[in-house]
Amino acid sequence: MKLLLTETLIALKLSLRDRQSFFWILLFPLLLLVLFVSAFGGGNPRTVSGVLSGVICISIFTGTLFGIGIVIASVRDEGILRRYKIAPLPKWVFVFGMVMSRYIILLFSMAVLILAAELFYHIEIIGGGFPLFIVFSVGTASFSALGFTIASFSPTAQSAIAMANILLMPMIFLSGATIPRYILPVWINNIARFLPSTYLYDAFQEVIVFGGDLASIWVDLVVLVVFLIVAAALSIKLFRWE
Amino acid sequence: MTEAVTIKNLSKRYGEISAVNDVSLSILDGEIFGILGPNGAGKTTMIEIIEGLREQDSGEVYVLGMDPRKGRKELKDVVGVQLQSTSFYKKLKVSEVVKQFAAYYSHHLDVDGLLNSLSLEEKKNNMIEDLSGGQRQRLTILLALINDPKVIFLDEPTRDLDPRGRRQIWKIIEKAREDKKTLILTTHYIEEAEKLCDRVAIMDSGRIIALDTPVNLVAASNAQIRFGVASKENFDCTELKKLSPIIDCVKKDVEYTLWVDNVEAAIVELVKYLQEKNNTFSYLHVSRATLEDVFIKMTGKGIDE
Repeated sequence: MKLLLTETLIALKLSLRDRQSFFWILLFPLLLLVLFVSAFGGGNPRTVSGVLSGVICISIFTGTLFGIGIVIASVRDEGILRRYKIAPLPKWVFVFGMVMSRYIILLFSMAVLILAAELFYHIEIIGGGFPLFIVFSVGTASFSALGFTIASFSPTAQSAIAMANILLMPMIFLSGATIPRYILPVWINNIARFLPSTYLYDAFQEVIVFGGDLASIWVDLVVLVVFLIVAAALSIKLFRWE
Repeated sequence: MTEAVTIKNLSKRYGEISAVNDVSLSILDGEIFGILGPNGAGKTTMIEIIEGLREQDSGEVYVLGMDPRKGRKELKDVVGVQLQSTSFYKKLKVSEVVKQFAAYYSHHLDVDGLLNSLSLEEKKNNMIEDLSGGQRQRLTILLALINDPKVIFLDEPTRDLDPRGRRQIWKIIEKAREDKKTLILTTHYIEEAEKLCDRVAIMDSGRIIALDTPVNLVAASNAQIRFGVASKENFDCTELKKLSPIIDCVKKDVEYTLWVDNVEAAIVELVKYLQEKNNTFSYLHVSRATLEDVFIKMTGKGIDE
């Protein structure tokens, strides 16, 4: 347990000392929020809430796919992880430390977004804090696992970057996080049904916009948990230190 | 004495290249064991298989009776490894890295004491990215010692270090000897192997071509006698070569050099020969072969070639 804390703190320090992370953690989501709200019309609080759900999703997608997938592949390329292989540190502690640090950062990012939306656009989050917390936690865990899967599948950092970007595109554009799904053609909506990102967006939207509770989002949560289990199993099997 | 490391018929290939070719050896408990060889001899591949970082194609390896491939925690906990190619997160402080790795082991040495012994105490609040190559190298050695391991692996520990840094590492190795640690070290500095190691294996093209104490390795090799003579007129190299302890005689300018396999016998013969010819030495210089001579003789090349 103490080890997990050490690993989490190390990963957290590394993220925060990276100059770019300030942009990705704080500025990027806020910019998206302002941009989307002005694009979709800020007068309607329901529109703002919808945009907020989408931006939280996007920050989770980028934070995990880039913040875990690409980061792990890069440090592995640099040979940093070789030293871990010969240390008596269980793999899962390293993995969980990384996920925990991302979780804390993304939680902070989400809090800032909600606060900004409430302050600037005077919206109210109708749903309870608890369902919101559950959706966030399950979502972050699932997509962190996807980040690890990307790192495990990619032989080099370059291929991890390519893979993360290829996966990110449909996640952002088909899930509803940027473009409302009802304006997309039916066949795209059919594809979207197979993407876990769609379920995360739906769950956030249900809680933030419509005030849904756990009972109304259980299908989304089950899909995300199944996805989490598959991605985690794959990455544990394939993960390499070098 | 029990064996700390046992290697049986170990082989590892990379495509066409045989990096380690059917190596068997035993390293005893408490031994300082050197693996000496030119670059590309297979030293790093072999040591990394023993450490559990790479897997062999065939053969067996046991460290403290355990197979390093299994990656067991109880083995990792008592082994210290310095990797030749390793890097650190640039944005961590030295003290943070040291504490991080210290936390992984069931017990660890005093962090400040270790930083001191490797002259890193002034750098402990610096970021890794601000360290010089030598300082980074010393940090990798520090991490290999942090858990007070029973078996220590150092892969080219003094590479990239200045003379002062090298002496520090030598001190650490001497300390390991006093503490009865088993230490396996690869190097391509011959003087280092000669000075520090209880036994040395000379490795070339994936094979161990000689294995003994430095003293025995040197003793098994030829010695050199260099001398000048007062009168060159009645002195003949070819006649000297016919004498049994003398293997070769070469004249260069005014100096003669003899390669001999028995120094004492050769000197007796040489003195007799000079007296017969009423000649005298202008000077006489006898030297044992160095480990470098042994190395060149064994591998047919210099260590830096």
